[in-house]
Amino acid sequence: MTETLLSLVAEQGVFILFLTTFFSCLALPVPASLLMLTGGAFVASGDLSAAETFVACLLGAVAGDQTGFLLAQQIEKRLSGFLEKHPDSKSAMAKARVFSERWGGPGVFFSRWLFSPLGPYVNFTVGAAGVGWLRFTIWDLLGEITWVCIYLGLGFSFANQIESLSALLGNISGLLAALVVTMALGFALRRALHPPKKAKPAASKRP
Amino acid sequence: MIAGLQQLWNKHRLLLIAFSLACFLTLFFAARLVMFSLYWANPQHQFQPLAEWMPLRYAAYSWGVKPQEFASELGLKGPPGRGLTLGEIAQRQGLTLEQMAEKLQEIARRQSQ
Repeated sequence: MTETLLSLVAEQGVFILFLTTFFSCLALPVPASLLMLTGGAFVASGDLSAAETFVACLLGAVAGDQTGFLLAQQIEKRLSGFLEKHPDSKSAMAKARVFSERWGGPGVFFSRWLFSPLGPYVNFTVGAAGVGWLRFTIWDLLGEITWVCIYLGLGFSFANQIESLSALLGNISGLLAALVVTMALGFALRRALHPPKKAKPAASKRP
Repeated sequence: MIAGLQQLWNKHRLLLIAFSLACFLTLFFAARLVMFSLYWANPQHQFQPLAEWMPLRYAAYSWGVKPQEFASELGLKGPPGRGLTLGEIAQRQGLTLEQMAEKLQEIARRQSQ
């Protein structure tokens, strides 16, 4: 499949890059990193235009993120009545809202490029947890610009080694994502084992 | 520690399984990173062989050869078009990838002299 996609980038141009980044941001298994590196390499060799390649990759990624975010918002709206009725899911949603409110912006930014395998799931989570559209979009744009610049730039700079570079980068981002998830779960386990003590209610003053 | 694990297994089984899986994945990627680094540290493995998906310009660029020169060596007339792949050229000119690689090596040798 990868060979076919690479041929398609050569023959059909940047539209294939648009589709690839779009679907990768919806968690579909497409080799977006390799194709973006290839896009950068084709810019270096003069097969693609730099501006068109950048715009296509960025538009695809942002459109994919927006689709995931808005879809999660809609699903949350439909299910909110159901969730409110169940105390467990209600408190889980409340926790997710507090967490997203505090960490949603940087979470969106870093999951675009540094922990990119987590990106699509972060879109669904913050969309369902009620993070505002404008806030999501600003962090998303900044993160995706970083992602596209890094991958196209690396493809441009190491044009003759894109396949080995892609394998290496894919592995590094997989490692970082797995590490973040491990740390988060480790933290949750620690809390489960040693729950934080509840603050004692202040002693009421006697008249 | 064993008592703690027992407690987690009894009360938070799903969380413990998820954590173990995540640990395993982290170790897996870390081991792969070490293997990749060792593999690509060998200069012989950094060579990118020709493939059908490669456009002519890209193949020439990655071998440090002028695309125009490579095109004329392959028997193509005029400047090479954008996105013209080696697969298409192979069909049109009746050449194999090995023959194209030989021609590229020849040009690279000429250029270095």
